[in-house]
Amino acid sequence: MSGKGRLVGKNTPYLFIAPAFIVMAIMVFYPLGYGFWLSLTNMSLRTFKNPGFVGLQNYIRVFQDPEVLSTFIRTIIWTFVNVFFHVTIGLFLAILLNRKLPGKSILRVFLIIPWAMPQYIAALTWKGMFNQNFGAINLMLGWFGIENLPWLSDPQLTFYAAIITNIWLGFPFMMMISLGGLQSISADLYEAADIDGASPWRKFKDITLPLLKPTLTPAIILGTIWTFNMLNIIIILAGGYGNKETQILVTDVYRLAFNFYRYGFAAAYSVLIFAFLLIFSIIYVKKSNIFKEESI
Amino acid sequence: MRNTLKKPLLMLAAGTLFSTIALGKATEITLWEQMEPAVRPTYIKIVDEFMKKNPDVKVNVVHYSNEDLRTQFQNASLAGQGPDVVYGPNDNIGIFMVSDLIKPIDKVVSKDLIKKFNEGALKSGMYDNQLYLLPEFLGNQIALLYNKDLVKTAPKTWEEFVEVAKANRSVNPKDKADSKYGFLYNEKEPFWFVGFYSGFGGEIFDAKNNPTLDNKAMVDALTFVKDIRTKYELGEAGMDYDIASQLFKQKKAAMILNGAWSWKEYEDAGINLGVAPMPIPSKNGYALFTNASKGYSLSENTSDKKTEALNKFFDYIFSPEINAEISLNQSQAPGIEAARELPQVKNDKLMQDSIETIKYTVPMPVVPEMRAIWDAVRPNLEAVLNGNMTPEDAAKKMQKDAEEGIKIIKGE
Repeated sequence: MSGKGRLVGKNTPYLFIAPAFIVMAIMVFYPLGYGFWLSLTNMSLRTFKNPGFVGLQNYIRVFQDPEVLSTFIRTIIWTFVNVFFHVTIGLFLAILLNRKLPGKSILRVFLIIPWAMPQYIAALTWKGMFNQNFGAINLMLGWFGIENLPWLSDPQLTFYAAIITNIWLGFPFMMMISLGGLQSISADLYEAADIDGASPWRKFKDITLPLLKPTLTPAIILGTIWTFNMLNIIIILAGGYGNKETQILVTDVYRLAFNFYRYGFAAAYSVLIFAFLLIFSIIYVKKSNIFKEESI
Repeated sequence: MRNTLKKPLLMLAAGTLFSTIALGKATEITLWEQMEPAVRPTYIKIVDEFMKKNPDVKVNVVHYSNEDLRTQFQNASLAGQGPDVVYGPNDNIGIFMVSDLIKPIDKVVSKDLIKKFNEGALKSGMYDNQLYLLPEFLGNQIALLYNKDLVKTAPKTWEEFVEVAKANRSVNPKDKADSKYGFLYNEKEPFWFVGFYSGFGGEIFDAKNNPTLDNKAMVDALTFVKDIRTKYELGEAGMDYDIASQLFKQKKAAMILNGAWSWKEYEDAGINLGVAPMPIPSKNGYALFTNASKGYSLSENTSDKKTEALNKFFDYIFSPEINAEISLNQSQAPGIEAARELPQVKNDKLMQDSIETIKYTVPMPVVPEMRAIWDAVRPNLEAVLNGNMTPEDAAKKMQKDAEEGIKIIKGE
C-alpha cells in the first residue's frame, strides 16, 4: 500500500519527459536509425522496393573511392576558410558595434541583413553578380584593370565564388553572438586594466577573448557543422552538380542519393560524415574546456 | 388517395436512400500533379465539372512542385501508400518503372481511348514497348524565336541566320547590358546543346541504352557551338537562361532559342513573336531539339476496383475539347489527335507554331540513365566553350564520364 505513493513518485518524472522523448524518437532517433539501416543495404533505383542486406560493403566502397579523399580535403578547406572569416569579421564588427557609435542600431540592422535573407535568394543574387559579362563583380574588377574572370564556368573560380558568398552569408551570425558575449563582460574589468596601464591588445587578449570563449565556442561548433553541411550555395552557384572540382562532401552525397539514386551508398557516406562531425565536436568541446565550471 | 400518395413518397424515400448509399460509395481517386501555375485553375475547374457529372467518382487533386512530386511519390510508394494516379513529365516514368512504382496503363484503360492519341505523343509514354503514361501533350521543344519588329521573316539557312544575327548586333564592350544582340541562347545548358548534337546526326544511346557520345556528330556539334561564340562572334560568355530571356523581353535581342513553355510569356511581354526551327549547317539543315510530354501514370498501389472510375476519368479528361483546353494554356501540341483539328486549336497561332516545330524534334530518352548523360555533358561542354578542351577530347571525356555515371546508377 505504501508503494502507491512511491510508484507515483517514481514514474512522474518519466511522464514529464515522455512527450519530449516521443518527439525526439520520431524526429531524431528513428531517422538516424533508418539512415544507418539503409547504409547496410544495397538500396538503389533497381532495388528500391526490395533492398538486400550487404553489411559493411558500402562503407568499404566509400573508403576505396579515390575521389572521396580529394573531396574531403576540399571540404576541410571550405569549412576552415569560411568559419575563420565568419569569426574574424564577426568579432571585428562586434567590437566596433560595442563601442559608442552614432547610428549604431541602424548599422546593426544593415549588418544582420545577409543572415536574415533566405539563402537561396542571396545565392541567386550572388550568382547574378558573378556573371562573366553582366555581373557586378567583374565590372568592379574592371575598374582596376582586371579582365573579366569566368567565375561560374571555371570550377576552381566557382569554388572561390561559393566561399565569398558563404562568408557574406555567415558573418552576421558570429557578429550577433560575439556582440551578446561582449555586452555581458563587465566594464569594471577594463577599467581595472586601464589603471594597470594595459595596452588595447593586452585587454583584448587577456580579458575579451577568454571571457568570450564560453559564448563563442558553441557558436564555432555550430558554424563548423553548418558550413560543413552547406549544400545550397554550391549547388546554386555551380548550377547543379556537374563539376567534381566544386563539390564538397554533402553535395556529393546529395548527387549520389538524389541524382544517381544510390541510396545505400549515400547513406553510408552520410553516416561517416555524421561520425566525423560528432568526433570533431567532442574533441573541440573537450579541448576548449567550455563545460568545465572554472572556465566560466 | 392515400395509396396514390404513398407510392411516390416511398419511391422518393427509396431514391434518397439509394443516392445516399451511392454517394457514400463514390470511388475515390487520388491524383498528384505538378502542373504549371498557368494551367492549374483551368484544370481544377475541369475536374470539378467531371465530378458534378459523375457523382460516383471523387477525384482528390494534390499539387506538388516537379522535384517534390518525384521524391514524395517514391517515399509514399515505399510505404505502400501515395496516389492512384501521378501526373508529371515523361522522363519520370523511366525511374518509376525501374523501381516498380508504376504499372502499365494500357492494361487498365480501353483500347479505344489509346487509339485516339497522336502517335508521337503516345511513343513518349512508352518504356520497353509498354505504355506507362497517357500524354496530355507533346511539347517542351525548343525553337528559334525572333522578334518580328527586328527580323521580318525567319532565316531558313545557316548563312541567312548568320547574316540576320550580325545585322542586329551592336555590342558596347564597356557596358554589355547596353548592347544589342542578334542571337542569344542558354549555351551552357546540355538541354539546349543536345538539339545541335541530334541535328548533326548524333544519338544519345544505342539500342541497348549504352551512351554514344564519342563520335563525329559530337565533335561537329561541339565545334559548331564554339564557332557560334568565337568564329561568328554571336555568343556571349556567361550567357544563361535568365539574362538571355530578359534581353529578349527588353527587345535588345533579335533572336533567341527557347522552349514552348516560354512563348506565351514573351507575347505577354509585348514581343511581336515569330517561331521557327533553328537552321544549322547539317545534313538535314536544322537542329533537332528534344520533345517531351506530360501525362498520367498509374501507381503500382492502385486497386483494381478503381478501374471503372479511372476509365471514366480518363475518357473525360481526354475528350478532344478538354484536351485542347488544357493544352492551349501552355501552347503545347495536344496528345489527342482530334484535338489538333478543333477550330480553337487551328486558330491559335502559338499552338500552330508548336505543332509545326514539333516536327523538327526527336523524343527525349526516358531511361534513368539520362541523368548520367546530363552530368557528363555539362562540364565538358563548358570546357570546350572556355577553350580549355578540344571538341575531340571533350567527346571522349563525355563518353567516359557517362559510362561511369551509368555504372553508378546501376550500382555496379
